[in-house]
Amino acid sequence: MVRQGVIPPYLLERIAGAAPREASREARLTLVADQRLRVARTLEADDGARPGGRGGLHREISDAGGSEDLPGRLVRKEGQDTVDDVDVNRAYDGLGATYGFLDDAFGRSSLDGDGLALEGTVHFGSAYDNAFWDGSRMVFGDGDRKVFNSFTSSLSVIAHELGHGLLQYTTNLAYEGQSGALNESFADVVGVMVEQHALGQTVHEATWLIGEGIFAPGIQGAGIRSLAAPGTAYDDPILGKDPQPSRMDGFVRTREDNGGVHMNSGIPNHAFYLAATELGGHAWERVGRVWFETVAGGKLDDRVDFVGFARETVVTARRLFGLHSDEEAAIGTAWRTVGVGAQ
Amino acid sequence: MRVSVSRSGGVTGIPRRAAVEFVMRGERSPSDNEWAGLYRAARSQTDQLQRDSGNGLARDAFQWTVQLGRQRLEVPDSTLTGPLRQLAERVLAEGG
Repeated sequence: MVRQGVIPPYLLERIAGAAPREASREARLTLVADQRLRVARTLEADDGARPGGRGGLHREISDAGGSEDLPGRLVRKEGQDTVDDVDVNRAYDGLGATYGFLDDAFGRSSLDGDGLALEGTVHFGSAYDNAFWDGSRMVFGDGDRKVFNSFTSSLSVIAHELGHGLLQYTTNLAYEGQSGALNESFADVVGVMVEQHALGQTVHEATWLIGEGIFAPGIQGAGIRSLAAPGTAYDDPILGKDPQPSRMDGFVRTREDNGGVHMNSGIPNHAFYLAATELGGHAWERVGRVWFETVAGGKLDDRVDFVGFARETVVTARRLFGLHSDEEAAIGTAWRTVGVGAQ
Repeated sequence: MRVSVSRSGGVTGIPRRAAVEFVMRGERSPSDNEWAGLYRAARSQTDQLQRDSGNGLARDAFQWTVQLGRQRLEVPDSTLTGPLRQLAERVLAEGG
C-alpha cells in the first residue's frame, strides 16, 4: 500500500477571486505599457551614430511549445509586430527594457557591451515553475497557475535572468557559497533597477520586490524576494515563509541550492537597498553605478566573498565619487549594518 | 521502498520536498505495482546518468536530490531525464 501523507496543499485547487486577478493583470499591463514607452524613448534617443561602433538592440523570442527542447520555434524577432501570445510579447518587451536600462544607465550595449542578441524562450516545459539563464538565453516556464503565474509576468524576473547574463560577460561569480549568493544578489539588483528605470521610480517610490505579480491569486506574498526587508516577501501556508536573512548573523549554511545562493543573497541585497535609500534619487545613478563598475571593472575575483565584494564596492565608490564622498560613506555604513566589514 | 525527492534552486529559491513509500514484494496493491514499475525503470537508468554536473553556465536551474532507498543522487535539472525524471516529478506531485 502506498503510504502518502495528505495530498500536498500545493496541489489543492485554489479558489481565486476574480477581482485580485483582474487587479494584478491591470498592474502588469500598465507596467508593460510603461516599459514599452521607455524603451521607445531610449531607442529614439539612440537613433543615429553610436559611439564606439556598438551593436544595437536585437531580440529573438522562441516558443518551446511545452517541451523542454531549446531554443524552440522562433516566433518574434526584432522589429516585428506584437503577436497573439502575451508571454512572447512580455519577454520581448522585458528584454527591450533591460537593454534600454543598460544603455541609458551605464552606456553598455547589451550583455557583452557589443550588442549581443538577446534571446529568450517561452512556454518551456509543462506547468514549469521556473525561469533560468542557460548560458546563452533566458528561458521561461508557464507556471502551474495554482501557485505561480507565468514567469514572464514580472519584469524584475526577466531582468534578473539578464543580470546573470551580464555577469557571465563581466565577472562570472562562481555559483556556490558566498560568491554564488553575490551572483544571485547582483541579478536581483539588476532586476529591481530595470523595473525602477522602466517605471521612472526613485529609490523611495520603488517596491524593491523581485517577482511582483508572479504568484497566482490567493497566494500570500508580495513577491519572491524583498531587498527592503529580506525574509518578508511571502508567508503562505503552501510556500512557507520567506527564509532570506538580511544580516550575516542569519547566514544560512546548507548543501541545497548551491549552498543557499537564493537565501544568503538577502544580505548583499539589503546592503544595496540601505545604501541606495540613504543616498536617494535613482538607484542606478550612484549605488547601482558602483555595483555595475565593480563587476565590470575586471578586477574582481570570481570567487570573492561578501567581505571582499564589500571592500571592492567601497574602492569603486572612492574612484567614481571621491574619497570621503557620500557614496563611499553610505556604502560602507550599509555593509557594516548587515554585518559585513567593508574596511 | 522509500523514494524521497527534493528540488532546490530555481529563480524563486523555494524548495519542494516529498516522499513515497511502497511495497516491492509480497502482497501489493495496484498502486504499489505502479510505483514499483516507475522505480525499476528509474533504477535501470541511474547507471547511465551523465556524471557531469550539468551546464556550468546555467543560473537559477533547479537542483534535484533523489533518494532511491539507500542510493542518493544529486542531479542538475538539465540532466534529469527519462524514467528518473518521471519518477521524481511524480513523487513531488503526489508524495507527502
